[in-house]
Amino acid sequence: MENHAQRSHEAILRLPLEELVSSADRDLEERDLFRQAARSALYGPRWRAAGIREARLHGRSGLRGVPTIDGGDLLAMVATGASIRKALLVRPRIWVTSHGAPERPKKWLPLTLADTAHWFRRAGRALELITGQDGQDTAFFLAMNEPMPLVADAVPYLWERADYLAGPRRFEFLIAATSMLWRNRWDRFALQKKPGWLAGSVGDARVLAGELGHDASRLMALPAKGIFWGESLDGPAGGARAELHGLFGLSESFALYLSAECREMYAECPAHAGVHLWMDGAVHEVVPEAGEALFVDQAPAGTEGEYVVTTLSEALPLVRYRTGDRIRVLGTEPCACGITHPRVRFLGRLEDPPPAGRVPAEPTGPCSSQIASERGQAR
Amino acid sequence: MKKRYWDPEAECAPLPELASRLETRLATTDLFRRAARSPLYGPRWEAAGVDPAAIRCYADLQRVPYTDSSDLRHAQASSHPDQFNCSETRPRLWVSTSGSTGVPKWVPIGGEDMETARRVGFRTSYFGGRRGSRDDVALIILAPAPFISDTALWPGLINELRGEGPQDVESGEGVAFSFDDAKDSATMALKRKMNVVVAFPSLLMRLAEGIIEETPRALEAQYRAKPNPLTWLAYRITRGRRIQPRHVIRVHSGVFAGEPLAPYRKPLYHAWGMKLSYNYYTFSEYQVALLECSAQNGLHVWLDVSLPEIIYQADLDRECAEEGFVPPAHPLWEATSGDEGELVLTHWGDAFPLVRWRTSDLIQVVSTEPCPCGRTLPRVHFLQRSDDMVNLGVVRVSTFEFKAALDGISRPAAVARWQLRVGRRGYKPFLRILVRPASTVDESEMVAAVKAAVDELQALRAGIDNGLICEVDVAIVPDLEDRISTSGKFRPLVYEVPGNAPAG
Repeated sequence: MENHAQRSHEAILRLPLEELVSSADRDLEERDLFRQAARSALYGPRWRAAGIREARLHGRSGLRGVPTIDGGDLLAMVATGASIRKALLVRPRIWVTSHGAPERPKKWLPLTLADTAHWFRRAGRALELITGQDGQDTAFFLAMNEPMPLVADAVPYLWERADYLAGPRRFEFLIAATSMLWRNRWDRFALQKKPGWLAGSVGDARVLAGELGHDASRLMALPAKGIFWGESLDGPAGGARAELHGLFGLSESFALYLSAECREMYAECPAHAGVHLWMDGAVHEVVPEAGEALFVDQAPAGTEGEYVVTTLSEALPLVRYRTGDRIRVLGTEPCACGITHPRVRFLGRLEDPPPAGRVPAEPTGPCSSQIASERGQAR
Repeated sequence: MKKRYWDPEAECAPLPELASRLETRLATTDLFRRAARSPLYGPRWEAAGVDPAAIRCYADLQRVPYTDSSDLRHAQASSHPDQFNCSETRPRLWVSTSGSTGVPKWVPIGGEDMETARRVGFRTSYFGGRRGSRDDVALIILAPAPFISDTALWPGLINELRGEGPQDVESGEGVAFSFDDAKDSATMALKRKMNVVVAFPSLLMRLAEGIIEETPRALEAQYRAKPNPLTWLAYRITRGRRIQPRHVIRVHSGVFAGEPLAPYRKPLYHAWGMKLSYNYYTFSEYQVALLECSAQNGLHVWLDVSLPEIIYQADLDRECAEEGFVPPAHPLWEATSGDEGELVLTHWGDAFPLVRWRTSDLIQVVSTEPCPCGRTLPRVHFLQRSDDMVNLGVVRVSTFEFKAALDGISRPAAVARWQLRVGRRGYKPFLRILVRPASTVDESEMVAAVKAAVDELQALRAGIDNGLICEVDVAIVPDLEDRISTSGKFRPLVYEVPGNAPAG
């Protein structure tokens, strides 16, 4: 298997946009997406009811002919054993869930080994893109994950493996769930180790800062850098970036978009000009509040709307899945970093308040009241 | 099933040859030179006059002082974590113990350690009595990071992606989840008709109890919502017959860790219709897995990645009774069937080697004769803990926490003496606290005061609330002086049914 250092120089990152679009067309055909998807109970019955003949659908333009699905459809899919069996195209190897709300059913997504390989390549790409040029030879990396079956459980382990298999190994990891903060007091250990990198959901980072109190500002070794997901770093209300920089004394931070549904890990590059949506392996659309869906690569800069994705997952491709996340298209011209994949900003959820992260089982630190309040708001 | 081995040289060579390889390895290893750099070993060895360069054979090793988890805890309180890394390179990952004594221990894992764990994992792929199948659906219960069990899943899948490991063992589907998130995820595993489990036995029995309790209610609700002959029949059946999980779903095999399987084996088979079950043992500092084989009679102990010794029970008793007595350890491969004692491990870890590490786990030697599975490695059962940890299966509380809680009682009277007695009611761990009050009091008031005090122990409360252990029983006794060990020393903790007592 290729390593992430090789992948960082993947020609595909710098292919002209038109070639990426043609390549996506070919991918849809090679995957035989519409015929395959029609076999799934997630699509077949509704397509047939709408008079859609999947044999007539081809390439990206074919997507225009099919209705969108959303999180409610995924929940219905996992309602019973029979509904799951009817939806799956291939028996999966492992199941993961999105960051569901407490007391609400989770959206379960199946991954085959091939889907996991895709997810692993994305992890390596994101790690290399973000840390590849940071100038630090080695660093201690504090990565806050979330316990299985949440998809964020995987991220730091995939990064560790990508780093390990890449050759010169650069990172030493502490991988820890915030729900274990109270039990393991790993924040005290992290203070001794002084991470150069901090990664996790924005909500988890807040929980950690609350637990550390005044020590948060001396947690990290300089130049302190962060990778965050789960909430916009630059949303309409100012975002969380400045807050996190202030809390941990970060010199730089990177947004990551993680999604169990999309089987993706979109990353902000060092040019900080938005998050790159990878064109290989998925098709991206934006649905403005009033108006027709647009392919992101064809949308004018400034277009805002719901992010809709089509994936080529083996166990269960998502065809025009409405993510419930709002995006703004920042640009489709090549980025200053040289990558040609379109850039967007994730602005937050359409309806729900942002996730507050997993809170310690028994919050006792100085931020207990804040945690309690965030727990109440967690989606 | 045809016998297969991933590494027959390490698994099936004659026992004397495996032991002789240990001597060869001791003569050439740099383990002791590396370990001496650690604040865990260096100062203690220096004080004992041990020259790491002079340890060249097993006889030399026997002069090295023991180390245990409290030594590590003390050393870590005064030294920076990096000083514990004995590898020439940086660790890859740090994991933590549970901190059930209030202070978690931190253990570095190096790249070489991951390779060792991976190779041992491949060996265990051939251990079972039934080869994995693509049609299997496994329910897998993990502990969240930074516990070591969270580190297994994704790196394992990457190994698979890279085409490593046995290619003739098929992998099925997995629904993996943390014990913090059991309800939703177990429901998903049931929907997927799981037939294999990798779990803590007590949690799987708790899940069985949930199904037994919920099924009649669910079928009644189904009948009320959709009255028809089928839903009526299903509902009526559950009124006349106790539904077991095996009536709904068939689990053919399970791998169980975190507590001994013995007390749960029969109830698990009855509840789930299970045919095969294997006990699994590891801990954060050791990192490689010991597993039962197809014979399902004891866990094989590796003689290439570790050097196992046993301190016999009689010497442990003498240690309790005699101040300053240091019990000798003996090679496990020379033990005889039925021997009991504490397991001591030395292993060739890269970042965190164990050198004569007292595990606090009491074992019983099953056999050092070749196993019916064809492996020649010694086999042991894990019985219980030998330290101050009150081990109630997956629920563990230090006796020091009980002491703090009981010392805090002043009304209706202080506690003059107490003893914890761990047994089982059926398969469930059960704790009785025997208390001698400092003065004559109303017994019911004293019982209430003790119950209120131990109710503050959160791990204990959580175990009771989640149905993993029985409610605590408190008994007021006039005298505790006869509650002593065979060595004559008073013990605050007694396991009442040793063969069935929980262990790590």
